[in-house]
Amino acid sequence: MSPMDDNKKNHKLEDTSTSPIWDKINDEAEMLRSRTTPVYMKQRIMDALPEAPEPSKPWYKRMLDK
Amino acid sequence: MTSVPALSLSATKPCGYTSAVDQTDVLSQQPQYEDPDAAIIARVLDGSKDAFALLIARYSDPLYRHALGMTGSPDVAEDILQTSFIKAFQHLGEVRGRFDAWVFRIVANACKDWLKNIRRGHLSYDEDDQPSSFVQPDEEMDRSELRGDLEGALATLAPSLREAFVMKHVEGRSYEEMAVLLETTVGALKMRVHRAREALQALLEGKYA
Repeated sequence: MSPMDDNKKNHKLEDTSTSPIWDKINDEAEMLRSRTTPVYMKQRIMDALPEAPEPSKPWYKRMLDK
Repeated sequence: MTSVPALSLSATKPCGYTSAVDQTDVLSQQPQYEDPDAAIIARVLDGSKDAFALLIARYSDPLYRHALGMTGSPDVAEDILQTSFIKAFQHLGEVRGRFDAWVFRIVANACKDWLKNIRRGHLSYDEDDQPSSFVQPDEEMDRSELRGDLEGALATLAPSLREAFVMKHVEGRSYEEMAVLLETTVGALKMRVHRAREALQALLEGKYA
């Protein structure tokens, strides 16, 4: 069994036998897991980026900025 | 030294583990990618803005799913994804560990802030932001009703409980992976998931049991 198979096992709620609601929730969760980012998002994000990242600051200056 | 799984924020491997690697040296151990995140970050910081698109492509899907699970709104999830990547780009020089965990925390915090603002009434759903389709509109009505009820029940949870529930049971992550991403303990996360499940069960079983 690959690590990915093992992980799929973890998707299921452990106590599905106690209530049918968990079967339904699992179905909904399966739907969400199949969702992908809309195709236009990558370009939208790239277009919204500033020209360059901000210059790196030492940690103590970042703390002071917070 | 504790060994923890690599996060699968990969666009091609949507959930869970990719391999067991050492948390302290994750950036140098990403065999699934030709360019490790650290190399891409170095290129961006060196002036190659376009290289950032590789990081977006690599991590946008799992981050989008997290935002969608947390907010229930595709439009809000898109906005959170965009603002989070912009923030990540601006502060890219401050990344000292795993980029995937760092950018996840940016998104996770944005989701929790959004939920808190909704609760305080500082924000409201726009008409277009209504919790909507995780699936296509021609799906059966009962699915739609369940989705609405589930979203309503999730909305009553504290943001930290919703976060734990979504990461565990919607995104399918292990507790160990969640603990790394959220910088907390497995025990605390198990408790949050347990409390979230109890609350959801109480809210929904009357109608669906």
